[in-house]
Amino acid sequence: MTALSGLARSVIRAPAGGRLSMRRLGVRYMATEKPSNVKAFKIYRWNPDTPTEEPRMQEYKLDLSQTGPMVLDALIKIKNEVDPTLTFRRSCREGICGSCAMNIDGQNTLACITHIPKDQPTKDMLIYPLPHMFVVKDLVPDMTYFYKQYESIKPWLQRKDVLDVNKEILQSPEDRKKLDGLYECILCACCSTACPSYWWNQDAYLGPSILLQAYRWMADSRDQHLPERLSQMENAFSVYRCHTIMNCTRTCPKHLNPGYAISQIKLLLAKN
Amino acid sequence: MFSTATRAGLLGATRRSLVAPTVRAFVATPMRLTEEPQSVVAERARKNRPVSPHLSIYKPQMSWVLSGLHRNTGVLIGGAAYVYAAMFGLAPAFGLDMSSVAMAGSLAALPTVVMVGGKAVLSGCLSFYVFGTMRHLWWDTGRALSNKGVFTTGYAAIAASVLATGYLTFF
Repeated sequence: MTALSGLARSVIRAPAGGRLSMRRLGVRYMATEKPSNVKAFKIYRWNPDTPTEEPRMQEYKLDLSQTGPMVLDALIKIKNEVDPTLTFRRSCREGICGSCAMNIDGQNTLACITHIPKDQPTKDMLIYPLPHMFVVKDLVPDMTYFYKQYESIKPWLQRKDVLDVNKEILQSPEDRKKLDGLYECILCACCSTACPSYWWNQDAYLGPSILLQAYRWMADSRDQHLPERLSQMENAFSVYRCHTIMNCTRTCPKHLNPGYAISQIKLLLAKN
Repeated sequence: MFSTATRAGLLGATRRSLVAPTVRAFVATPMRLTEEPQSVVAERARKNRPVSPHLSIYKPQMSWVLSGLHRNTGVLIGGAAYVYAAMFGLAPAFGLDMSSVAMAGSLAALPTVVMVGGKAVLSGCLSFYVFGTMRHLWWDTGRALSNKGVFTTGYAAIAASVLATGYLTFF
């Protein structure tokens, strides 16, 4: 800080015609205050316009002193300044939309809330799309089937009685509390695509993310369709392909516990 | 979608322009006519769409590494038990003597390294499978299902199977 204010003074004191010297000072400032800190980002690339070409890893080098703190900042910087063809999803940049879910350094997470580790710039960062998904382009996976699975569990309040539309359905604070740790899920699919069972049986197994959502409606005291919701799970695949690997809970960027929610569905199935 | 809409508008505009030339203002992007519709591009891409890398790039962690180990040791121990049981039935056909005395004799004739190594591998697989199964049964009651639970039960299963392997190999 003192060095900086000293520098500021010297800039003010710089003699007339000192455009060059100011630039020199600028260079000196860059060199002393923020040493160059270059890190390589190796990013999965595949282009649907040349579909027969194999996917490849492309390396981009960024000066971390000129890059924002998060992985998404690095991706946006690459797209804006280096390679506009790099394709990825992003929206909220604060971990609430789930768009930028991807595999960073071997773990599924949201690029926008993942720090670039500044302490090890010599280590390359590997970025892949969510594992075992069909790739639309670069880091964009095809989520169509995932959303169809979500639809299949009927993720809305179901009642058997006819309600007055102008009246709220009340819930005790205790019952409301049962939804904590469930309603926060943003459906980013980090957990489902971290699950080896989901990799091998994606067509029949619902996966941790969808099962957490299914349990969210089973646990809701206002919902009256628990038997129907459970009977939908009464088969060898929908829920029982979960072998308690727990990659889901390990990777959840929102620190939720899909593994526990699935075990609760299994316990409900055993009891009913 | 956008290009289709534009094309429809464009064709409409050309036809109508014979009667009412004022609609000409609509002809904004005639280039789109020669472009392939997005649906055709997408259809072609879907045929070669790669599956993103998975097992080979996922970071090794206690959760899935121990799960894989549990399954593989189970397959190995189960397979060995099947082979051993089948050998009893098939032994007479091949003229093999599978009596306990004969087995003990032929095993004693093996070099010490092979003997101890074989015992360590088999008992290692067996004990990890046993303690791993206990871990899974504990989970099935709804307990220890958290990141912390995965690690504490995981280290406990590893420690217990190391002790059991030592005991079964040397005693």
